[in-house]
Amino acid sequence: MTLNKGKSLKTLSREQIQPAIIILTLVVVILIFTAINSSFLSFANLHSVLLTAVPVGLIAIGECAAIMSGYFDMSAGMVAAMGGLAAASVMHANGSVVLALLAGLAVGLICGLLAGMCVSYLGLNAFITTYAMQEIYRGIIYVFTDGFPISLFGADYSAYTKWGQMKILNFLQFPILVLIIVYALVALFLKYRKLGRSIYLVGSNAKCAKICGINLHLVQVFVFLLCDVLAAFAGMLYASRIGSAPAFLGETIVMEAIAATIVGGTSLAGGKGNLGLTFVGVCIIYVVKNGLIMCGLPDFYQYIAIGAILFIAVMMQADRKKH
Amino acid sequence: MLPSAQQDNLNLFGQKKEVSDVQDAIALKATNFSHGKFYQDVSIEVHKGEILGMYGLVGAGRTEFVRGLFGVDPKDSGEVEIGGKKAVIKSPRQAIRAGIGFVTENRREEGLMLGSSLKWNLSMTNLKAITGWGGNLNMKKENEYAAKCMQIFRVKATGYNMKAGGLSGGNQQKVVLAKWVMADCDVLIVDEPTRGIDVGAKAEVYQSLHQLAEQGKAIIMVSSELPEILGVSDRIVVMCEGKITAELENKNLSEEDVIHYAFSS
Repeated sequence: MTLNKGKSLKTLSREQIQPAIIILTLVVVILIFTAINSSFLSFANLHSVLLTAVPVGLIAIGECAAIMSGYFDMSAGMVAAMGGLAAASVMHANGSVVLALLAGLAVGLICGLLAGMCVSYLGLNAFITTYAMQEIYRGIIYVFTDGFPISLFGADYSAYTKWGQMKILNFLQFPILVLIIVYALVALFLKYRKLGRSIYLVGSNAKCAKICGINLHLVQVFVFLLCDVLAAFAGMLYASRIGSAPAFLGETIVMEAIAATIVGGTSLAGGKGNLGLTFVGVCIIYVVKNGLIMCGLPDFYQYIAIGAILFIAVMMQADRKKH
Repeated sequence: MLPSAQQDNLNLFGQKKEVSDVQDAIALKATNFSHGKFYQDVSIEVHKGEILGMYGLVGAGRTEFVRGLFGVDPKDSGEVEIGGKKAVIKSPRQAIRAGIGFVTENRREEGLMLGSSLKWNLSMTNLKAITGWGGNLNMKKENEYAAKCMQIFRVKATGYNMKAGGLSGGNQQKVVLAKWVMADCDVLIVDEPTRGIDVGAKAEVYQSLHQLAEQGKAIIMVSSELPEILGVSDRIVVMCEGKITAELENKNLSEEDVIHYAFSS
């Protein structure tokens, strides 16, 4: 019993220093790239880092909630692409921004409900179920688009694209503001709402949570809904910013979002995670991607760097969980 | 066993103060509970202020029955009346709403979240007690709630932010008991409440059960330890191979009287 106590004390202290390590990593990475290329630390560059991070940042919120409750949503990337495409198609057909937004969100809602119901009521394995859906969505996307983007270029669509390209107070682009607001809202939700707390409880011990009266089905459906609605929203925002809904958007972003969530210290065992640190995780990944380009290295080195960071993050978790 | 040890036993189990209206009000009545080969046609009733012991050998179907009663596991049939009113219980949520609490036999798997803080463990059965403005969780209320629980149940820990996994077995069990009792249930089911905990904690658990009964709560205690059953319960239901074989008033019973029914079906 004393041995047990000693170990848990050790765990506690490691958990307490974890946020510091993650934030320190971001600082160190920024310092290294600044030392190599002094223009890295300019406002313009950091602004562009954040702007490119918006889609992955939004999906990482949902993935964080999903992983905390013990599940993965692999389909979020494709849902993002479908959301953008749906909105763009409606803009082409109808021209109403409101309808376009509703169409995109409907895609997120339907996909989230479907995944949530399968996991919750049919008891299917979340990872494989959402992976299967990802493949189906990928097929649907390419069947309908042949892999070509739906362009939103020109004055006809400016009612839609102006949002993504708008600058607040002439310096901050609108999607970044949206990203920060959504992070703040969901973080408050996780901390202060019963359903938010339930997500942590289900992730810690689903059996115990169920016996203690936590609505397991609601939590399961909710995390997939959150994930896919935010993903569809991310796709729409991206399409608005670049003036085109690409078919290939979903190819890498879901894995990047999961990587960012893990780098941000979300426990793969479930029950532990912090949205603020997830945001730091997103920043780390995008700072590294941007920094390597600033150093003049080819794109492919990014994969090696992100892989290495993720590997270290998982290694730290493995050590922490050994008790 | 030495006489002195027997003397200790008496102290260990503690004693309930006499409650006059024990026999009057039925707190929970379960009729015709069946689930496949696990248990058949089980009916029990427990009164306010009464501790009902459920004895049997391992595999007699006691745990399966109370899990069915609480809605954790499915059942084929069975009706529940709580406080004279019919209750539909198909999930733990419904059971809790009907006023039942359930201390499971496997503390580390289902009873507690070992990796979570004590305050989270204590408040999870009663989240509405710690909400404040706009239905939001109030961290100050939660801290006070946790501190109160730990004080009442004398949980020995460094604080409510400590992880439940760091506690001793006895203190873990007190936390489990506390989270149900403080959630204000009328009927408390306790399954093997003293398994794997030290003697001091056992005595405290028995004392808590007696106090609850004195307050008019009904307690269903499933146990495989005969001295515990005989020392604590007011009435004893014995099960064997999924069926109830005896219902005994706990007056001048010897261990042999009870064991006899645990073997015969």
